[in-house]
Amino acid sequence: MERTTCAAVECDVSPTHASRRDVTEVADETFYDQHLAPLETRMLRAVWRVLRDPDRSRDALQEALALIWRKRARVRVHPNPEALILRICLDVAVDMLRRERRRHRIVAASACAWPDPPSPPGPVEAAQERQLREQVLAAIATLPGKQAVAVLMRVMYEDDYPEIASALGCSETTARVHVARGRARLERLLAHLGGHPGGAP
Amino acid sequence: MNRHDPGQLDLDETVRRALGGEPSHDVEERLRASLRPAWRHLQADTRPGARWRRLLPAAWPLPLPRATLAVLSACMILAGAGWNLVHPPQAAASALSSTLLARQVVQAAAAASAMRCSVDTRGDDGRPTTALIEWRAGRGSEVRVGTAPVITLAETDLTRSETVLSTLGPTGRASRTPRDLECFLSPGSLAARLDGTWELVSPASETTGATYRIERSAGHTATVTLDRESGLPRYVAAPPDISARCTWTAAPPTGLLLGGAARSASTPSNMEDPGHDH
Repeated sequence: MERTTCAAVECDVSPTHASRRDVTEVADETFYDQHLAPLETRMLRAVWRVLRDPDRSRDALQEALALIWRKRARVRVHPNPEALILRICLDVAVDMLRRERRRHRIVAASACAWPDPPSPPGPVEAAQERQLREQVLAAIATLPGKQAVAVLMRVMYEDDYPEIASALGCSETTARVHVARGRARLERLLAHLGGHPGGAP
Repeated sequence: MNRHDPGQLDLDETVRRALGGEPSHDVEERLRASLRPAWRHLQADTRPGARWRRLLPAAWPLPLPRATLAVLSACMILAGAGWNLVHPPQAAASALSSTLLARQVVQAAAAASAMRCSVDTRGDDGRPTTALIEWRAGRGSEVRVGTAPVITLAETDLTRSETVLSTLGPTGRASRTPRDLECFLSPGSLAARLDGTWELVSPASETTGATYRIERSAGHTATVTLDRESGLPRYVAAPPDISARCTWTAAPPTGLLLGGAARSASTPSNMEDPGHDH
């Protein structure tokens, strides 16, 4: 086999750019300490609540960080950087949820000979909770991105509308519309759960 | 349940109940521990002046997320078998995984007409692994690995490609790997799903028993048989330009077959060699 070599060329640093780089690097390092470190717990819990899986949550957090990195200038000057950062995390998590649903539909549509592994045994209540979560997540995955995030911010985190608006980059009226429409759709999709706390129809 | 009307859904309560709860302390700490290194990686990777992207710095926290390795492995396996990724790079990345690695590979490929990247990584066993990937954008949005063997195995045994296939565990029984990897690559909805079991599905598959067929556009086929008893996948490759691979045992194989060129692979007697001619 012909051997292929590749030289990984390292970053070209010239002295004239060094000081500017230093300032930028410090600012970026400060950015984490200033904006992200205080939010670590909220970020990872926000993602976890949607994805419920350590690996997927880690992937989503990495993706969210990449987005935050690209938008860091905007985050710095945003009137509510916390809300924006959490919005990005929820966006990514919901997006991932949506993609997974699509993939599962495609795989299920294929003639797959292997059945799904059986669910781990557990008390009836635990099974009902899982079922409820599945149905709610499936419904959330059908919402447009902003509606999903708006509803989650409002319902799960009880953020007020100005905060939601700030995170979504829209007016407060529009934020209320997102929440209302999101809620209306979820109510339609989950109406069968009414009167059944366990989520069973 | 709505307090005012027992029959009506109380949406807020239902959503809070469904999505309530926190991760365990252990999970939370692992997630938290991954954040700052990832941020540093982003800083390092976007420094101006870097022409060649180093996808994974040596300081990447170990062990690597399985998804990251599996994405890379899937690309390599299929690249080695000559598959073209004809989806736009962005779609391929989003279909494959949302990991940082996949995204960076795609961004790097999209940013240049030809991109050669080195990947220094470590396996779950902590052993260093080096892989070279060359991406060429050509014919529109097609991202294609060059026909020349660009994946070198000289430094160490590249067992990462085994990750996708070998998550079933060394004992021959399905391991409860909690990671799902789902890849969708053209020309069909080729999906590899890892969730304790391993499945390979193609629209052209014949699902008699556990045998699936993957058909290349050139008409060659590689037959994958999933051994029902052991759960291990076996390739029975037909043409010489399709990768063939032996099943593996507890010791990772020292060889990897790519593009018809075999390297030495030690296989224990109870493992089957598909009898690939080189």
